[in-house]
Amino acid sequence: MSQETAAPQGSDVLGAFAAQARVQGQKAAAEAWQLMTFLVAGTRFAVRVDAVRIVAPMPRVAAVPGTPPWLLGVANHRGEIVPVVDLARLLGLPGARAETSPFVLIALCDTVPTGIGCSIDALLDIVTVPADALQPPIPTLQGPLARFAQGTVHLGADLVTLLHLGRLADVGAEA
Amino acid sequence: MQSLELLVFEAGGTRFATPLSDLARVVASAQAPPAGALDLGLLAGGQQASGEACLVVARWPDATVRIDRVNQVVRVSSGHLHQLPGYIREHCRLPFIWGLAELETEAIIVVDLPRLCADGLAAQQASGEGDRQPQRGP
Repeated sequence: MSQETAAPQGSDVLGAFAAQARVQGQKAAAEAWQLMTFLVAGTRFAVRVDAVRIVAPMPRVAAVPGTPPWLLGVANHRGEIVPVVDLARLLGLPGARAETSPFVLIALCDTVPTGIGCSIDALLDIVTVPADALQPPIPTLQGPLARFAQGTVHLGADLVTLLHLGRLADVGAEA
Repeated sequence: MQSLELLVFEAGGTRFATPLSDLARVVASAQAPPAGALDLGLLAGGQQASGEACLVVARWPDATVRIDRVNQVVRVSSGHLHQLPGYIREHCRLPFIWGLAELETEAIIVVDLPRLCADGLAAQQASGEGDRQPQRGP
């Protein structure tokens, strides 16, 4: 083994880590995110593609008595019982008609193995944006939507809110 | 694979199912339900049963539950029975909702009848109606 390829020793290790971190930081800045955009109650939203398990036609949903109104019920997706939420209602969007939502977007959640289904009206597109194009959520954003807003991103003429649907698992019954 | 026979019925506008093994009997009656009968429609947050009474009598505890009507008896394999997912359980305020049974075209809420009756009787006693319990069906 040549001396040039030998592992760094002592303070060299820290230097090597620092250099590696800088390189990773530069890579991160240049990274691109794939976003899926969709319509809920007439509003366009986005989620990271890697946070989505699947988008599928809305299966038959069985309502469960004694649950909050935003919880539509449960659906059988490929043999798994998946909870389904009325995303429009949960986000406090006006004009929500979850019963007619034709699609379910099943979001990945750390604590819910099957993921959580969200009713959506339409799947619009999948776009790739540089990670640094993501802006913080609009400061004036209030209400339930603020809880799920991970940021905003300009997509064409739209200012689209990026949702962090993994936070669905943290929603309390009081929502 | 094990299987279970379920009674499928309606109460308060919702379809429910419960294992036949939890039932002492089912009574379709034009008479008024006995005093102290529990009303599943009300307990589940739906509408109170009206018109002719249909009653299911639990094997244990000794209680009668009023429902709207009986639909069918089905045999379901254990692979088509699911406990309520944890996420739903966290948000469901009704402990007697056990889970779901997958039928051909729909999922039906399975109720834990002994738990329903025990909780219902306890609630009646707490509200001062307990002196009318226990009651057996007609």
